[in-house]
Amino acid sequence: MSPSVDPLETFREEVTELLSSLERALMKLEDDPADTGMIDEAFRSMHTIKGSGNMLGLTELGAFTHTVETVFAHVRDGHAAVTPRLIELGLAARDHIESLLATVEPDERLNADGAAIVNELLQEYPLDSGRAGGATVPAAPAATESDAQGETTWRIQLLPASSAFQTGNNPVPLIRELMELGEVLVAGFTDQVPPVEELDPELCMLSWDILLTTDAGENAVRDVFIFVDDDWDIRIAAIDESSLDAADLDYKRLGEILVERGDITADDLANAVNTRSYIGDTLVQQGFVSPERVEAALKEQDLVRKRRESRQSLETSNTIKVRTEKLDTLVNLVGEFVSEHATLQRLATQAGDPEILSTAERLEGLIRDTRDLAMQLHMVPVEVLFSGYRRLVRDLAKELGKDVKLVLEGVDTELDKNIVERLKDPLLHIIRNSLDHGLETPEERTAAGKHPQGTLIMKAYYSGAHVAMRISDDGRGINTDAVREKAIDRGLISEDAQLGEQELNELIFAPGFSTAKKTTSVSGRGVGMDVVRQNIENLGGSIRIESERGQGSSMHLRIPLTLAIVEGLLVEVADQAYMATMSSVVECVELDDSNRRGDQKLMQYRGKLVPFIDLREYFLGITENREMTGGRRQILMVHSEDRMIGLVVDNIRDTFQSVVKTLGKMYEGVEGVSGAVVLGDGRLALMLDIDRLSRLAAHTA
Amino acid sequence: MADTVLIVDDSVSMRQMETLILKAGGYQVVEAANGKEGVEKLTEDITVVITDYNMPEMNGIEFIEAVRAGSVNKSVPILIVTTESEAEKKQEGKRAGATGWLTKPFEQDQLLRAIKKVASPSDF
Repeated sequence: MSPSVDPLETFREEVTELLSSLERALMKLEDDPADTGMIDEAFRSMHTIKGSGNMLGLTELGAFTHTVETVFAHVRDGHAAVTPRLIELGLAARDHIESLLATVEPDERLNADGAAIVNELLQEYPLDSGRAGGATVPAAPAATESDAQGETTWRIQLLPASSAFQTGNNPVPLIRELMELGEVLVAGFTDQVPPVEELDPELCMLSWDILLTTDAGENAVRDVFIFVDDDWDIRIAAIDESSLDAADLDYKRLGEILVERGDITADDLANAVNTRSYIGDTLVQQGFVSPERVEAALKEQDLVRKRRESRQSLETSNTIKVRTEKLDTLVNLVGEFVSEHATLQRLATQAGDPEILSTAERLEGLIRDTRDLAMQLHMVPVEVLFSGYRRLVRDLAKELGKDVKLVLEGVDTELDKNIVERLKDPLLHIIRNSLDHGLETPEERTAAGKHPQGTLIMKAYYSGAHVAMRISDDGRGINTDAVREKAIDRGLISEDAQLGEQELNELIFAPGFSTAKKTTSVSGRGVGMDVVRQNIENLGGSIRIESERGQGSSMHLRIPLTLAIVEGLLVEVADQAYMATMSSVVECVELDDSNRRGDQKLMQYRGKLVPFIDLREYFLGITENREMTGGRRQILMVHSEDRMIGLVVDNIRDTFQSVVKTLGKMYEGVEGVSGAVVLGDGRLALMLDIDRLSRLAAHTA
Repeated sequence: MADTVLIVDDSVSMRQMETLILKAGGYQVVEAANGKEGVEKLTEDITVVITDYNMPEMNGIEFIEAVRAGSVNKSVPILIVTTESEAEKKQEGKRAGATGWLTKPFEQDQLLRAIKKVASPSDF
């Protein structure tokens, strides 16, 4: 037989031989199922057909024989026994391979036949359990890995042994092999090469950094280096994975990357960081690292950032973008729905028609569901808000010569988008204050026995109908002596005022207060903590401070989940309706003389003295006239922050849900109300500003 | 004189394909159908050996071990060419004394590059 020069023709001849040896092996196995030599031969004939078939681009054949081969390997390795069914299917596979080879292009019927055989084989021999023991891997290596993993960016540091040139190892083919796995960014380093007069051309003093982005999995990357001599220093680290949260765009700082790469030590960084200029330049100028390594680290930073950005835009592509105005309109419409329904409910009750009533009730359920959904659409995770401050903290810290770590917690907590918008500025000021006044420089911290790096924690969590936020630092805390001095200076308190630590801390919220020794570019923007408090209260939220000298301070914020619709309790004062948000109401009690304490605005409540405000008196300036109401007035117990107060009202009516409207100019300067709602009968109810009222009560009592 | 490659593979078509590629690349070729034959055909004239992994008689690993333990051209560069790509197998190959690994299926220039790499790596 003279061999043909066409490999495909040779392959056909070869397969014919292999198939008859397969048939022989299967027949012998039928007689003696324990003949391992025969199962090995069956395996090998499939293996060869697969290998050559794939080389010749016969993919159908390659894929089909792969399964058959895997099953044979499974049996050969003792994971399953030879059954009559295996012999039968093996023979069917033999015939199928023969038909595949007889055609140039397999048609559908043939493919279906193949699929049927594969299915039956897999039914007879489920491979999952013993697959690891099989001698084969899928025809396309690492395909299974990549499906699960997605793309990963690897940092591969390649430091050849200095003898690499003599032993014949060369990094270039390795880099080329890596290029076959995915996208590659290479940086070569010559900074270890000695001056020409000391240079030994036999020695390899070069090293390389390769950034590889691939879906091939860690093993495929490591495999490239299996045949590399053991005295090479090869470090492989994942620096970015597609499974990582794309919202977190920020990668490490340049200094961190250099330390991680082993180009500089953490001490080098700490020493260099003290100066104010750009860290990369500083490190180079002070001789800690060569410019090419800084450049490589910058490239890494850039690559990871770009990848995360593109991933983020990819992620948003399977969602629909809706303009926020449309969402706002939806939420408002739902709010109107709620109000209109209240009217319908009232009319239905008046009409007394049970059918209309039950329809109104069903409608209420539907409206509630719609409202909840509209609310959800309008919610965004706090992460959107928090992560925006990363850059600020980094830049500010650099500007102030401080080292600050920002820790974000509870970033999944969701808040109304409008609230997030309106929290941006207040949080910005709080963070600025923390970095400027709270956190110390690394030297100061070390002197105080603290870690040179300060920590700023931003945390959010649900708390009833509110989201609680805490922004805390481990800085020097509030200097209450300085606060006191400044407050006296500004005429906020008298010189002999007796104030506790907490009261002194709270003074930073007083209008026009600032403890900054001098105006820096950071916190001296003319906005004080009083404005921060005002902004947060305008949202229906509250803020308080906790601070301990030398230990740090934290701002505690309570923010309503949503602005658009509030649930409240309606009360009446001199025929005017007012509404208190449901979340602030504790209970309602009757006012009688026994719980009054003389002329003081204090009352007994559950064994405690609680301040109260008579709203009739407060809003209308009318001193209590018992005859007007027959002496049966009510007290609404409400709490705000950590205080409890009583609000004396004429009547308590009903709960009500509605959109809150802002008040017009007419109400400017009216303290104690924060908005208005339109009631079912068209009347207006004023929203009570509980925070404001409770502070007022605490001061006057 | 042109470099000579010893091809050790039990598949006729595989050997033929490799031969075609290598001859086009300017190599002379010697063929062997399994490890045992490979050991017999290895002479001092062989520049590079490429061998399959799964073969009857004597498989690729046994073949490499035999060459490295033998006396003829015992340090010749050996490239394993196979459909296998598991790291364990590669480690096994490296322990036996293989110089490199190429996973099937491959393109023509991949084979030529791999051979150049194991034969004269510093030329790159």
